[in-house]
Amino acid sequence: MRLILRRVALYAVTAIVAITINFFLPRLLPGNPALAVLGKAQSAESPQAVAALEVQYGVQTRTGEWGQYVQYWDHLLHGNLGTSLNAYPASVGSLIRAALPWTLGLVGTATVISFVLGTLIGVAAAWRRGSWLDNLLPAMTFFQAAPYFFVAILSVAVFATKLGWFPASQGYDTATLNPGFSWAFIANVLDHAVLPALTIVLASVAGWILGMRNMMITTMDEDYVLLAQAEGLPRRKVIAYAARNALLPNVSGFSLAIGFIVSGALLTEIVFSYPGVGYLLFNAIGSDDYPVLQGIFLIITIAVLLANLLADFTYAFLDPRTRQEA
Amino acid sequence: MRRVLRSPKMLAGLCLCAVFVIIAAIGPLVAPYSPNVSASTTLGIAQPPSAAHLLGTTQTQQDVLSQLLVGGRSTILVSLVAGVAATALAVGFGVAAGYLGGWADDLLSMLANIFLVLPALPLLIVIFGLLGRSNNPNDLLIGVIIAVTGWAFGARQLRAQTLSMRARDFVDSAKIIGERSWRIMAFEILPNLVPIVATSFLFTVIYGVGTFTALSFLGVINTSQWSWGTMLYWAQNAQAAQDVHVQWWWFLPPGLAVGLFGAGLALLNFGIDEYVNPRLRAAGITGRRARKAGLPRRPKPGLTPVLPSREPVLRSREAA
Amino acid sequence: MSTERTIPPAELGTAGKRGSDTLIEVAGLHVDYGFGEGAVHAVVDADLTLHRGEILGLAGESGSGKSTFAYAITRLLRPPGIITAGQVKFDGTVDLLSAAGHELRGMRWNDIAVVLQSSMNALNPVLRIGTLFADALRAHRPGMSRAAIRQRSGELLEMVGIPADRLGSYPHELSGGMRQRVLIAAALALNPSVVIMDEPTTALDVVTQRQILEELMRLRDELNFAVLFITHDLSLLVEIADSVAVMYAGRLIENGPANAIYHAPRHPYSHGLLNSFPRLHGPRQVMEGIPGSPPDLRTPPPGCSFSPRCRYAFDKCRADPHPPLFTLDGGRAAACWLQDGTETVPDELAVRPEEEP
Repeated sequence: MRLILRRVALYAVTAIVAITINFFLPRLLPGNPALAVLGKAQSAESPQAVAALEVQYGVQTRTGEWGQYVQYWDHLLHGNLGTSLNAYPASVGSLIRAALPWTLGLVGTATVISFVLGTLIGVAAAWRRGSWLDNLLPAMTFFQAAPYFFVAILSVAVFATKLGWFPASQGYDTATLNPGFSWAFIANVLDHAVLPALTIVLASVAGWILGMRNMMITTMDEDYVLLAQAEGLPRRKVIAYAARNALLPNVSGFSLAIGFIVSGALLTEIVFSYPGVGYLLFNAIGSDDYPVLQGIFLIITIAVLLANLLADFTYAFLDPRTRQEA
Repeated sequence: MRRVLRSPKMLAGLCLCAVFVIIAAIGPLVAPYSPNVSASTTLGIAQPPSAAHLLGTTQTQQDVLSQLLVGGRSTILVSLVAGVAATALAVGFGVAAGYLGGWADDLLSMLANIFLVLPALPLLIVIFGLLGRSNNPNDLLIGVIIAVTGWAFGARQLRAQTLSMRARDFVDSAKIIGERSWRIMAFEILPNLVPIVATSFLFTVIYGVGTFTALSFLGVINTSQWSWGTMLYWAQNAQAAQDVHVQWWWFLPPGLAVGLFGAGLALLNFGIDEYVNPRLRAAGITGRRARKAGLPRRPKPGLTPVLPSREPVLRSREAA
Repeated sequence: MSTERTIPPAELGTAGKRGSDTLIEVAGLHVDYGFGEGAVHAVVDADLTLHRGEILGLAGESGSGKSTFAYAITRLLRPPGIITAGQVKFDGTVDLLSAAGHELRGMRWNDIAVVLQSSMNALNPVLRIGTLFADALRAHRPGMSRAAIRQRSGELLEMVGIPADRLGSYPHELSGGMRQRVLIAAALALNPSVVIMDEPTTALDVVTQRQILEELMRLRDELNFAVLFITHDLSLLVEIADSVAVMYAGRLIENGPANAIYHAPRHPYSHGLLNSFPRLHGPRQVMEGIPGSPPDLRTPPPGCSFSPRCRYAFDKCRADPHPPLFTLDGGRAAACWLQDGTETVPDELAVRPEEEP
């Protein structure tokens, strides 16, 4: 339990740090982007928008820096992430809320598949050392190094354009379908999700495979595995004895990897014009929509922190040694 | 040392990395054209490879090969800078935290954990986005900024290793002699950490390549500053993969370059790993002679192999 | 503790009356690490016999090959270990070295059980103790019900003096002595006829050591299993072993009844070993060590492997072949040219009637 509490404390501090960074960056970076934003806004946006931005970026207000910081926190705690420049008057929150389910669905499913597949293959590769599986390893280092979006582009080129098996873009056929819980819609969504999910799996699975394999090799040398063999346990059980222990570092490695996987997923969405947070991000970059950029940074940070917490719980569940009270 | 070089993974990694270092060094010098120059203003479609353009052209008739070579230097340089800077930070924070202990350790560890958990790419997007494309940071600065997000992992590993070293005898004897803390850290502990520092460096360079390429792909970094990521940005912009005539020559080279560079570094890392952790190396019954004698290639765990001939090999040094 | 068992001992395993029945007969065992040039000969030409109900101590320094020998017998030796020659007959019928995988697996734990050295490492840290017993029982008694398994597991724990409710504990929740006892209890789960113990008490303090050894003797008297007890501590063996075999540089250089070897060793190495540590009782003695160190097994010396350090060595000792085990009176044997019947044996190593302490 103490372990979990310490992790929660860390995440809380990290969240505070992230929010603080978010607040100070526009004010600290050279070229005062706040002014640049406002300069652009004044010519293009309505006076109300400009006024809102002035508050958000602390330009031409009478409250001091600390007061603005508190105001910022106040807004955040009320769920107010600001107003989008590009899609005025849409709030940043509403934009993200629309995009988030797509990203969560995609990343969630793909990550789970990748982790499970990677772990199983890793176990097999370690158990059958010296078999053909070992020759796959160099190919896997390539996939691990290739950027997510490159794998995405490749899969678009191969599976969508050349083979025509799956659609190359979007979350569903916006031209012909309306969102709803009809079977046609769901099937269409799944159809559009296959390639993005495949990309994420391909780009991330190598890490799990290699990690699990190396851990299994070390674990299989342990005495408790020898004991399991000495007991004449069936092979399945012996592998399980080793795998249960080898799994632990992979689970804690999950915490580290989740940040990367989320980032990679965002990039993948861009290639597929998938209507998730990544696509939103890309458009925000292109149109210098700073409020959206900053809002996305916060939301992603919180999502990653929550995922980390989940991984920590899983680890505590799997490893009885952590349950020892100090 | 020879044993290290004999590992095929190590050799492959070294070769790949050498190729890319050469590209970084002489790339812009041997590029046939300037990457910005359009060969013609009338053609609107990317051209496949030809004699004049070995890797074809982009939609605006710029030479892909030149972009690859010029962009290569930028990409590799930024990654190396990121690697060096991040490793320096990792060594500084990690060893200090491990050696000093107490509140210094608590503080530095907390710092490392925060940076470890903060998602790097979104943060970098905000930083570079706010910096604005008008500010045009140079390669060195980009590398350093990326390093700020990438030092935490190495720092943790180094701290752990330093902690275990601190308890060892040779450190105690140095203390008794009266060596100063920083000297102990630099001259006693650091030399033993070299394999981990090497691994950390390689890992961070891989991270640097990936991150820089991603940032360029997003267009957050100036899209007129050539790099492999930028090439992919423009390729995606022109829908090179979605076009019915898939323009392989445009996006394959930069993507493959990033992948191969990363793979080379990863292979080097494997090599070091195997050297440090001998269990990962193939166990000692490999070889044709063993096969011929009837021994299984991979002995089943829990079933010690028995030589079929049951002829003991006596005095192995006299064996034929 | 209930006096009724769920399964009568006679129906489990192959334990039986103590007698001169030969349980394990090892002949000419050769074990190498690696293959081809650079292969290390860890065990060379070893013969050993273990009788029903007997406690046989296998003694030697680190690197003498005693653990290698014991694990090789049951084919549990880890890679790169290879058995290059020999025969291991179990119960006069099965040659363990040519047995197929499933045959071997069936015999494991049922007939031959192992107690590993480090109890902290031998117990799977993520599983409860009860799971260890349950898995072993289920693997060999597929018909056993859950309740029966639970009961039997509880009995086994109580047999070694641990309350049955500890079945739900994890290894890190138990003390070192308790963990070792768990290993012993687990080994006896199927009432095997042979238990191989690899330095089971080395990692424990002296008091716990004594307790465990006493438990062991009591259990052996009750269940009548044979024990192959591996240790570097010869003085321990004289207290519990019936017979002792001494290994040096991969070879069995002496064997015989424990008492006889302890009081009147015939091989110069055993002699040196026994004179290397003081006895708690008796007159004061001059301590002697054995000069030099054990040979590098990659390049063993010609002739007798002990000859470079032996004060009695003469020319024949330094040339091939290595002296074979010569049979001596009283069921003893020693691999030394001095004992071949033609040489004059120095007084310290002479055949003498057994002395009582």
